[in-house]
Amino acid sequence: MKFFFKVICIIMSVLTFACTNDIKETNGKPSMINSLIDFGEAEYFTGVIGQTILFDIDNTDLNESARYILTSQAVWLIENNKYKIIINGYTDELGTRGYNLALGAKRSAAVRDFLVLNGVDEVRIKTSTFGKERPLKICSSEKCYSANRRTVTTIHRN
Amino acid sequence: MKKLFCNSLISKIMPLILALSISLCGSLAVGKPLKIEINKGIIEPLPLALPSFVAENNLSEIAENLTSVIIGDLQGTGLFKIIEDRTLIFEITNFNNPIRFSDWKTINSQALLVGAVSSNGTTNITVKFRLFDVFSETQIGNGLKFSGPKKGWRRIAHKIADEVYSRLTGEQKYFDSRVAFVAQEGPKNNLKKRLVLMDYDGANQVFLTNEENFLVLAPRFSPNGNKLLFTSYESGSPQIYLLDIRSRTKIILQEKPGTMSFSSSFSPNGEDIVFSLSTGTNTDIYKLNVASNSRSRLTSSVAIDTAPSFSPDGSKVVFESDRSGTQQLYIMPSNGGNAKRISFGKGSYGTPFWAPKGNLIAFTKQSEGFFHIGTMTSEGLEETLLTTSFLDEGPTWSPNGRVIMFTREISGSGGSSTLYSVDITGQNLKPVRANSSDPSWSKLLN
Repeated sequence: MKFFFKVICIIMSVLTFACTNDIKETNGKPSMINSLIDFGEAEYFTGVIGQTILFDIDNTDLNESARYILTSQAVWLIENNKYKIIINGYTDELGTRGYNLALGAKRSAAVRDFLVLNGVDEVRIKTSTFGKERPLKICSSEKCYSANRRTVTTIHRN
Repeated sequence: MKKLFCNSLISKIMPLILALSISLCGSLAVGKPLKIEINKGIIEPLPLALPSFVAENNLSEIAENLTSVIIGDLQGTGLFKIIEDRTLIFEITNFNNPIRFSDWKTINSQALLVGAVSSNGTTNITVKFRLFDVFSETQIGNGLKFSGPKKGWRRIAHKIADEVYSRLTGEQKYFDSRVAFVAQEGPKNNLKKRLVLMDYDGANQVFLTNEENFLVLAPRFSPNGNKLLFTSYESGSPQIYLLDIRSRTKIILQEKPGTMSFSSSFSPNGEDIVFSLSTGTNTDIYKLNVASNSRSRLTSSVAIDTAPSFSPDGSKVVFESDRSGTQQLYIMPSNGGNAKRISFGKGSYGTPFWAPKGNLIAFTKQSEGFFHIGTMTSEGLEETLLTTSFLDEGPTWSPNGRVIMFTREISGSGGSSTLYSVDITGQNLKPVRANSSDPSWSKLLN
């Protein structure tokens, strides 16, 4: 069963990068990444699967892309069970501080619930919210706001 | 010799005359007493002559400073035009000399404040003042004196300005008060935030937290002004802490694993706090008795319920909820129960804050791409928007309910936050402190 998940996950990751950016430009020279990283390494989680889930305005629903990433996160976490995670929820700056803290909490809880539903033991998961504190991008337009409406899953060993 | 005798006679008699005039001024005053009517839209500032306070024992520096703080307070209201020309008539050398009203009439001052600073020892000062209606040539209220340590001269200045403000407007006092807020430093995506206490006018700033490794948010004064509730990330996730301002000791109030708490405020008697608690995907409002640490749940909707604030009599709580689909304001009994929606205008409403007296509620409104600070009654009537900008939020009331302080953020990558204040008439919008947010205005100090 684990092997099956692993294969699915690797296929999904390869498909993802086949569709998007399997080659990264580094100082003008192309270099292969990701596919060489071992599934058991933390870098696989952070670099191949991805830590960030994006949300629509004032919304905590997990869209298709979010569920896709989270399914991969769940598979990885089940396989690499020595890791624990912290899920932080964030919002864009439009909105009041208290409401955005609650919205960030709701986003991180939505991600936690999805991971638990997909087999990750909930004792391994902590959630927090930063609301509109700590934006990833700091312009005042939708280009930045869309990047700031996010959750970030961070892995750590015990 | 004769002249000297006359002078000394005058100086002996004058206090008696003045004392008499104090007691008689009510009956002698002709016509309507001098008073500013604040609630009538745009106000023509009242010309008030404010010569430097007389320095009686080598206290000229304190006298100058004291005078300028009083001028700052009164001028800052937008209700007074302070006349402080250094012409000859402004040179008052003796507090007890008679007032030559004709002089003050020629410069069109309607009111006159004279004062003096003296010292009876090395550490204490005494400051006295008298306020006059120039045109009716009467004293307004009794002369008063305040004594205190030299280093407390600013508070004495605020107390005198409060007396003048109160006598000339009929409103309650507010200058002798403090503001707690969050000071911000660094780039917008990694702001360092520290809790700061200052006088309402920005003086005497004291940092209450120095840890730069975690965020602090949303301070709220206890009713007696000795403690602050605030949200801190010290434990990793947002939790409510209670800080004793004098001893700087703090305790965490809510530490239930897997929950987050924020948006806290005190009940008027200081015994309870209301706050938001996030458990799972749900955020509800809870009440905590500080002494017994017993907690009760006030709302149980699946929506986000946050930003609770008690009514002045403690019987109700106003809060924001998106249970209808957008953020709106609701009022419920302070023990929970049926919540009644009070905001129905276009847009969304948040951060309600009940005024210290009466039934006005200040709020943040988002509508058509702009943020506003506004007020409405607790019945949801008379909605008035006081400000408009890219991002205004988080109103807090002056002790007398006449002025609202809030956070204004400028758009863009370099956009910083500034504390602003505005009169509840919408007049006199002005910045208070740069790189700051989340103000909480104390009650009047004792």
